[in-house]
Amino acid sequence: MTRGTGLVFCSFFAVLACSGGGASSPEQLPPADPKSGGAATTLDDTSQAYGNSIRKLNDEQAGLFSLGHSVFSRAWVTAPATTDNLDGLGPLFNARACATCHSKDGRSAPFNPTGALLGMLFRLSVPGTAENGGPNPDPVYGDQLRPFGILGVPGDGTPHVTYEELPGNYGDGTAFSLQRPSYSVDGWNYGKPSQGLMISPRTGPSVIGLGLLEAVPEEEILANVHPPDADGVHGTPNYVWDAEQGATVLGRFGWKANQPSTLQQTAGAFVGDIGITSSLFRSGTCSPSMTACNAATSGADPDFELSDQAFRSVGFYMRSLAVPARRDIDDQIALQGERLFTKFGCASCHRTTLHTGAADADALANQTIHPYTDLLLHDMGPELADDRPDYLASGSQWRTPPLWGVGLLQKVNQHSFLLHDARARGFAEAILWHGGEGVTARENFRLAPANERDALLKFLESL
Amino acid sequence: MFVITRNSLLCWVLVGGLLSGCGSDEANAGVSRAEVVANYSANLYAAYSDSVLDEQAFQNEVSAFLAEPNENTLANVRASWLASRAHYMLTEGARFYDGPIDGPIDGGQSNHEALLNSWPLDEAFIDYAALDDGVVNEDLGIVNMPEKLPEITAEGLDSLNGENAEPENVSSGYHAVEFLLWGQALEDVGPGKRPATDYLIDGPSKNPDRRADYLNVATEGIISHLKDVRDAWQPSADYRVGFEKNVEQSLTHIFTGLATFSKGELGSQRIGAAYGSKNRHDQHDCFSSETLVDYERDARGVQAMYLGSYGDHDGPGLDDLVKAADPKLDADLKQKLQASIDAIVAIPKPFEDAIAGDDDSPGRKAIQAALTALYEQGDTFGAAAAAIGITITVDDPEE
Repeated sequence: MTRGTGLVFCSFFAVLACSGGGASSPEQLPPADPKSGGAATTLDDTSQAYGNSIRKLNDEQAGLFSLGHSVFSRAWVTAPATTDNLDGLGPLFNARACATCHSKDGRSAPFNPTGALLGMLFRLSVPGTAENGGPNPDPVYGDQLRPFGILGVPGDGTPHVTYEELPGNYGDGTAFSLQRPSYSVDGWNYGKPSQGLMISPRTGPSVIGLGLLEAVPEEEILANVHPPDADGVHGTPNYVWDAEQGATVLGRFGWKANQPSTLQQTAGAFVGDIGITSSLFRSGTCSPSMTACNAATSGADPDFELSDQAFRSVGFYMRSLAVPARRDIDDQIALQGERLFTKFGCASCHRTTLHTGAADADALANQTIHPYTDLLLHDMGPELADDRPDYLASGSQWRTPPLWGVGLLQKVNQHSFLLHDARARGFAEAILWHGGEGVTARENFRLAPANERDALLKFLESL
Repeated sequence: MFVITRNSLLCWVLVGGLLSGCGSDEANAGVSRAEVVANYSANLYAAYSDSVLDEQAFQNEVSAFLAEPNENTLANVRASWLASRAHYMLTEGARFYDGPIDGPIDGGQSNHEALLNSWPLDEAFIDYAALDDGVVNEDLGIVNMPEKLPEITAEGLDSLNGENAEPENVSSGYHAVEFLLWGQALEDVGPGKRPATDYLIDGPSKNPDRRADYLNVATEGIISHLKDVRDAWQPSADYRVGFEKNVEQSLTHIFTGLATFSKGELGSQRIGAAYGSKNRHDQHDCFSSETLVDYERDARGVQAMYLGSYGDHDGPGLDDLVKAADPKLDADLKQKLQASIDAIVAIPKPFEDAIAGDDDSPGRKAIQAALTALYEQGDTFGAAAAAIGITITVDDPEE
């Protein structure tokens, strides 16, 4: 990569001059740090950009990564099967493979080509809390909607969404439109759900850089907790049940920071989404009234379905996917956009820089990283609210999602749907949906001149 | 479906215009880059055409077997299944560039490769299966559930799979047919032991007629997908015309396919994953226990694609271009291609026996040697591409 040249320098000012930009800086901005993930950064910027391992793996780790990739991408099948290490699908399930919703280690589109809403999960609960402090599952449907069942077992029901266009205007009068979703379930196959059922639709995020986020010391995350600032931004930690430790600990992963570790997130997704039990979650998900579900053959061998070797390897895989390098690091427009990202207030929650501490892989330990998250919960206002509490997260709080690698989403997954329920069609809509603690930053963006808005978007595309 | 992985330490090879003249037209007896791409396309078209013929010949054996199911006709149709993959396996180096074989069908998530050759297979979706205690549940599968699908037809199966509209259709293709012929391989070593009487009307097994229907439908499905892929490579087809026109991009595709298939797929995912798990079911052709036959064919197919050869035909190949640019590198790659074939051939059969045991057992040492050879071959493809001015990325999980 080359440093900025005089040509770039001049054209930068030409753009500013033509557009009459408000914020101008006479000096040339220095290049950005391309290593978003520190030593765990990959230079790959192709459609496979999310699928690279971190560097400096030892032989054993390389073997775990390879096997973990295989576990992540292969489809599970009905039990019993000859492939006894890959059987036990369902009986109820959302997907047959991790890679279905995390296609190419990224985020699948919410809709499949036939228009079915399959790249998304409906979390379910009823009022009250479970024993461990988490959401109270529906007595029949549990804590998520599984549209599919193996042969002879009906799925829970079919997720459905309709959209209503919401027109709006930028400060300069330019029109935009947002789509507001309404969610429902067609054909509850096991009877009507409980009164007061709450539905929280969530897409599967990309799975890059998780080992880095896991290695950020708790003190560094908590250091960002503060009382509301002038813009009303504060941020609160979630504390959630850690099934492995048998204790309540800081939550870091998931849309509501409702998972304490990649391992628990992974085991939870296996049992909830694919119906695969593991040493961490040994019980299946058929409720007592689901006759065919309970009668179906288990793939357990002998106590659970995901072998410890497969669990260990896929656990390592989840922690060892590298983060794509930032691109266009000396593009003056993108660098200007980065400044605006801070100036508008985006970086108050999407924190630019964090540090990792100890980790079991060299490339993860003691790194300076640029994830653009604080891993904390923020109130995002009524429009984005799912009205479904999750541990300490209220119905309108969401964890700041990391933004690293997001500029490659279109290239890797061929879509640009963003936010927890993929309602935003691109960066601008995602910003415009921000409410609550994000109102000031959103308004700074909405009211900014077009060249500044474009610069901000160009910065996001460089991530 | 087999997804490739690549390492963050990519073999970035920036050559661009510096060397792009090296392998061009005037070199090596007038072999041009365009001729190499055209010959690759012609060979691939021939291989897919042969694959269709193979499958049609197999279909005749299926008919003969179903007309008179006994152990002799079953042995014949099993042998024919193994033979039916002889040419298809030679084409597998032409993957991983979203070409006709594994590019999305109609912009969707599914692709022909997934419908032809995916593994593992959802056996209990198809037919009866044994529980962990060895007791067979005769009521499992579409074959034994007429209430789920009264008549087994291609459309009916599609609609059932359509209920689960996902890319992972794991109830069709070569391995579905393999399962219907061999049955589950339940012992530590060796093939499945499905009896011919599974297909005997009024025989001891339930639903022999529906099982026969499934076998016929699955076979017809393979032919149909192979024809689609073949037709995309026929000389006047849009894809083929574009492929031959965009020579530089196509050379990138060809090298990407060969390198990725060598290292990421045949090496890491097909052999390496089984080596790591020591589980016999992490191998292709688990039901027939003929995995090593196919792995050897795969490796020979990659070698032939580099050489520009197919059967008795030896046309302009990548080797001609690389040799003109860097004769030593060409010799090195040729040696590595042969070495990986030799290493696979040297693995003691059957594969499931070879993966078991300690790392210093003869079987595991032989598999490790094959893995090393395939990884080196993949990396050398990256270097060879660079030598003629083509930039590709090769994964490197060991760095």
